[in-house]
Amino acid sequence: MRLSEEDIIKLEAMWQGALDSTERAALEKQLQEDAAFHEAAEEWKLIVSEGFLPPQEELEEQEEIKKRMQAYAQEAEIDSVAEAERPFRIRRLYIGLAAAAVLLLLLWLGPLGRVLGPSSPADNFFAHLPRDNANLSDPGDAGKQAYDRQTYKRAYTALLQDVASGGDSLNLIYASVAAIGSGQAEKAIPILESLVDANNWRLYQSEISWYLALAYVYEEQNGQAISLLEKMVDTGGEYSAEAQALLATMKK
Amino acid sequence: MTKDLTELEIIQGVKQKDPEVEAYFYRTNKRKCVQYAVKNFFWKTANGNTVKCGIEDAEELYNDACVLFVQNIWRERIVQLEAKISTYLITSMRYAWLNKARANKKESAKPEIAGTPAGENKESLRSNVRKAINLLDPKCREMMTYRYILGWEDYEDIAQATGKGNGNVIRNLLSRCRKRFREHYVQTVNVSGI
Repeated sequence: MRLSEEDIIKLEAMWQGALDSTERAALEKQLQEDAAFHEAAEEWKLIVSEGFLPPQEELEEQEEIKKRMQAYAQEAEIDSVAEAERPFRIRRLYIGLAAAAVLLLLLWLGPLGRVLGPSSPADNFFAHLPRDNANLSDPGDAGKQAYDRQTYKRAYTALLQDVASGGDSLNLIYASVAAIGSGQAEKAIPILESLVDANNWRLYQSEISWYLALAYVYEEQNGQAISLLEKMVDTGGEYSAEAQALLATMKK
Repeated sequence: MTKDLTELEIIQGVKQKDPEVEAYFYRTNKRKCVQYAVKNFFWKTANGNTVKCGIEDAEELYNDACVLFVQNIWRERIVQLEAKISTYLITSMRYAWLNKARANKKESAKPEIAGTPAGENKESLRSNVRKAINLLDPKCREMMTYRYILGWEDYEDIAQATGKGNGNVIRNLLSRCRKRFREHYVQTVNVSGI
């Protein structure tokens, strides 16, 4: 017996658990009563569940690709360790250059800064953090759109509302960046402090620490800022050069 | 690799087996995909407990999705990718996670009854299925790859990845392709019909 396309669609929906109870009961009855239909259905089920798995030749190829992928993952880890252990002389040069650049900027912006209002050492270090999963988001989402446009005040409120209504909690980081960017660093601190060292946020610890340190600096909680920045410098990784330069600026 | 590559350059580089591009592809998508899985993948067990996707699970799902992506490009089973590569990888990871959840539920319920063939017969079955897939035109080969090799169940997901209209278009296209596949398969193994 040859199954119709309709039969196949229904059978597959049943095996996936996606058929409603009435249709399921009717199909099960047909399977029980029609031996030829049952046999053809079993044949197709076997193909779907076993036949599309890779044959030996492709399995071997997959193993080779997998080994390479694992090597890339290890190389990436080694690179990040090497980055952290880069000879101090080179790092010192980078840090010196970064500090000099910051100093020049401060000198240049100094008079203007005084005209515009009190400045913070963090001013020259704050930068927009692009969203990681921007391409996956709903384009109609106002909070994310406001954040991407760096309309931070609006983004802060909208992103927090989004998280509160069950949205992606990754937006907590972006809400914190938006709070800092809109001059509300005090609001970013409790959010970011709750994310530090949280297991679910392991991959974002560098960003969390960096923006938390900036928020501390803005709020003149210098003891906490220095302690966090020194920890970032010691552990290396992302933002360690920026942390070193900010420390240098703060000490001056 | 210092320069940023476009999605098209990545696909072309992977196809040409350029190891630098392959490494770039793997590294640039990893964090986004793994983080997404850790945050969004979970299932409920029969007794109501939630099993969340841990970081090791997510990394394994990511590696497997990358392996299948590379292999399907090499074997010309994916010829055109309209979605972002990261979206494609996350969708593959989501279906792999779903299958893992189903397998887990089956294990805790009752063993599958059945005529599952022995190792040698399985190999022959898989080899015949591949032969029938290879006889299809590129468009149908791609449809069958998404639906059955990658296990994507939602036609809308396939529509998004392939840029071929919407779910209804995919449903009709897949139906035609499956018919052709079945014809090729029946000829290959010389069975009465499926």
